[in-house]
Amino acid sequence: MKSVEGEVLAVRANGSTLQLQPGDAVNPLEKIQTGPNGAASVRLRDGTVLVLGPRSQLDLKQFRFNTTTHEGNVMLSLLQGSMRMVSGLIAKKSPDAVRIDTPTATIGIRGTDFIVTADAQQ
Amino acid sequence: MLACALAACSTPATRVVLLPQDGGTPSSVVVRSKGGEQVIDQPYQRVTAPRDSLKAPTLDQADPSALRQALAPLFTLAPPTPQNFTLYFDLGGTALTGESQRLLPEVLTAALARQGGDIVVTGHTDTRGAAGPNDSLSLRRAQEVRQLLLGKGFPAYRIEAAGRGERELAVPTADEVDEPANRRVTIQVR
Repeated sequence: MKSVEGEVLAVRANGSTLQLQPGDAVNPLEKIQTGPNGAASVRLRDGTVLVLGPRSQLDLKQFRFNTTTHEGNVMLSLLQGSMRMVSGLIAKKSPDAVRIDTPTATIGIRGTDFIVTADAQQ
Repeated sequence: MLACALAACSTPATRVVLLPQDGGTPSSVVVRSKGGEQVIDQPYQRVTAPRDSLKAPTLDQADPSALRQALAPLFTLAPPTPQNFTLYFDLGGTALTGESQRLLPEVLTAALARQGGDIVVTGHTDTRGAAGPNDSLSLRRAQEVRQLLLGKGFPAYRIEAAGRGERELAVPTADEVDEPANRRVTIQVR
């Protein structure tokens, strides 16, 4: 975690939650959830930057990175809210290995800085 | 009347906006939904994919200042650009040149100045020797530097050492060339 504002929780697979602080590590298979005044930025090991806005839920479904060859893959799911992503070394080596899902769409990238928003389920 | 119009417009959707790249290098994003796919490759192009729609995602242009206002935290919380340092080694071993040793305190100061700062130490070799042993040598060089930084009190879980062997030459050479500029460790503070 790089920066944290307001309520930003790590949600473990067993449902337990923990308020995150800058410098904390977040693991694959965890969800990051921000409250109405929450926002946070995370840097993944390959340099990918994720910035989450308020009322957002991000599922880190898969992250693998080989620091010698730069091979790996990133799979994220933005369940709701807003996220900015600046892609890192994995995307540089193999763009197809990076995928972001929302309830409505799948996003593939080509070396990029972009924003995605997914409205809450009504 | 207005409320009604808003409600009609607020079908849940996914929206994707491409931002300009640092240095203006080309980039693009592909958005796929039930209704089809759309590529965006110009800054501030936006794709909208309404939920459960069988129509292709639609394309328009986002207003940069409106975007910064509506999604302010995504801009204010973006971490600063990483800082890079390069350290050099004497031939074949893991001993830093004197000049490079003197850079370490500067690296540490930079990492401590950042919120949640972390350090990636990446070792590289020249093209002398086989690829396998060079992978190991590059990793040993990175680990050596990592130890030096740990010795100065930086938390272990926030420094990673990696070895890239001869995959990323600073100065391109043929195989089996002794090139001091390639025997290096790059340090990224981020």
